[in-house]
Amino acid sequence: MDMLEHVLRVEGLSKIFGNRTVVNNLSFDVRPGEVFGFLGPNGSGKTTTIRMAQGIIRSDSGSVSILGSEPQRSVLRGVGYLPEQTGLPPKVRVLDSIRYLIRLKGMSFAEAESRADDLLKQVGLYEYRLKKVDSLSRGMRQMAQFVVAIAHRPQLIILDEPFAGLDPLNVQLMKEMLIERQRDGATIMFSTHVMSDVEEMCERIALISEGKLLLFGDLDDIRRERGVKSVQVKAAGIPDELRNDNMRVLQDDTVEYDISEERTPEQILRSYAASEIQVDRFERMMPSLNEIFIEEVSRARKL
Amino acid sequence: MRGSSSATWIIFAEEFRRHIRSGGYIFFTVAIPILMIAAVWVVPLIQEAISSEAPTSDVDLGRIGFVDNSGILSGLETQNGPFRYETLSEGLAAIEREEIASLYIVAEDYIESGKVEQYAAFIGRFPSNWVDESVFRNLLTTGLVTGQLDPALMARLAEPASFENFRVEDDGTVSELVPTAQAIGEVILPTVFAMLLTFGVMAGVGNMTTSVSEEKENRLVELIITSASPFSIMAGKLLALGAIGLIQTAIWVVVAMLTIPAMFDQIPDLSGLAISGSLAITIVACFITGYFMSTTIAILVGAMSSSTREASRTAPLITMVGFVPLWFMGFLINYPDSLFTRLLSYIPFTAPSGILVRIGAGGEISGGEIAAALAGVAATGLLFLWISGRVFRAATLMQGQSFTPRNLWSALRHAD
Repeated sequence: MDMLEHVLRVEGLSKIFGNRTVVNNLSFDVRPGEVFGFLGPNGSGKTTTIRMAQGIIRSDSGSVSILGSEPQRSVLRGVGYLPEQTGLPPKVRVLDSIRYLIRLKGMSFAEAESRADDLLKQVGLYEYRLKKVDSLSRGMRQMAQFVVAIAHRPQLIILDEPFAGLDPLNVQLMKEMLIERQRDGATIMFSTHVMSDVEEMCERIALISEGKLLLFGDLDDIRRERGVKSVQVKAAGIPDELRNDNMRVLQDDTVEYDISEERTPEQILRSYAASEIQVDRFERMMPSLNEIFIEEVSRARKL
Repeated sequence: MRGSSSATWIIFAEEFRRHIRSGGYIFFTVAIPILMIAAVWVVPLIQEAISSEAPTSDVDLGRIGFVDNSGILSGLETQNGPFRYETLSEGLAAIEREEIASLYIVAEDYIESGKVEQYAAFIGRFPSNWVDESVFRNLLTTGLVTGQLDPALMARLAEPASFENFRVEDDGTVSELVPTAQAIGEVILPTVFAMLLTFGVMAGVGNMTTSVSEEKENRLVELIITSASPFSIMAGKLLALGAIGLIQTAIWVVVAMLTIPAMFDQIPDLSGLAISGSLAITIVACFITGYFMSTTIAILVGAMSSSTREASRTAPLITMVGFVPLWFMGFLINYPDSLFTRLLSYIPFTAPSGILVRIGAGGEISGGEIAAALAGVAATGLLFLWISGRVFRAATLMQGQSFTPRNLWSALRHAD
């Protein structure tokens, strides 16, 4: 495939249900080969955006380009999708339902069955392949659905809340399999409100709330742009002038100071020097993604 | 990449594999032939039971005893029955000893009053002893006219007429009516197939409604719709459910074709009754078109329903329409070519079963009429397929919105 600048690009996307604007003039893009985090609180419009991006539901305005084209079936065969709610038919055997959906993505019967078997082995569900879907636990169903999303080796894998309902082992397994797919050249976009997963896996993110884009871009840049929130100092003592309410002593005697206009990192460092206290470690602390998320979403809701 | 026809084939193959293995399908496919085969043995037994109850020319007079207080039966020969007793208690003792089954006490004033007491082991809520009663009635008639009429006249008096029936048409032409038993057989035959057809359609409609509404409810449709067009999905499902329905009905029809003549062979006047080639072709054509139309309507119901439960509640309404000709069987049999009967065999929703019932009722329906009516059924099916495909897609596009006429119209226009 020719190298695309964006595997997914939405511009000015909007969706109104009744009198409620669920997605409001949303624009962002996903680059080839990256792991992209699509963040937002519950009900913020993530799932609706993902559905519009694949043409499952129609947008009221705006445009979508997916794998260099409008979301049409021939293109969407290059997309793997894990919906938020499990979509496997409950009364059908696991292998049959997986094979059915993979075949629709263009694989032959034999190829689909063999691929499904391999992946079911990988996710530990091989012994359940001949059981009906409704006999699986929620986590198992999620993993079976994940197999459907990646089995046909799609260029773009879109996962809506992929880790919800999974135990830590399966979360780790799914992450490893996704990274493996990324190494093979796939682009991964997933929605979540678990920030630690995003910090661990994503290079770039988009944060939305109430259908509006709040943040979009490189995760490190976003954190840098937010500035230094505090500094952590590990030293032999604490200067007297810094002992006040804006400091905390952490577990290993490291002291964390909140940064303000009155107290900059430079002033703190100068105080240690003036007090002749030896400093073993001095670190400017960026805000965590969790803090950014809470701050941005809270601010948006107040507006 | 595969084309939409390939998606149709995949959906057909997977749906076919899934439904043909379902327990309910296997059960009904096998159960009805078993019932039909069982009927081959049961019908003769019923026939025998009825025959043993029926009066025959060789009447068993030994079952009957009487006490003649009027003297009207004084000339009756009683060596091998009926047996004469002098008193009621003697007669009852004979019943107790099981020498006789029925005892009749003819009143002293019988000529004036006609009074006869009947003693027998009456069974059930509505007891009847019509066989012995009928025999004794004839004995009384004989007693009344003995010595006054010649024996041939007396025999004719006992069986005054054996009717042969002829129909006079409006234009004055006359045709002989078939015997009643044969007429009943001719009604039963297509009606049985109309019922089998309706049962087959009922199963197909149920499967289709559940299949569509389930996929919508559990969001499977989100995955499928990105790989196949709504029409490929619909066509795949229709072909799969049509094929398994056709297999099921073919098994039923073949077994019915083998067992019904075997059943009729046991019944006098019906042994010559057979399923003609044209009737067999009509049955198959009615099934295919009726099944196609009903299942496309089922897709519409499944797509518009908000849940599988709601769809399951609505689906029987579709098959209920197909049952309409069977509800009016009584009327249709007597008026096979009335306007109402004709309408039932022309209106697409009732035509498949209406045609078979009308044929059974002896209506005059030509091959051309049948072909035209079934073409109407097929055309209605195609129309519903088009609407259902778009509504199915619209139901997905409109997720989160209510099915208002405006929303629906907009989605129908944009669905692809």
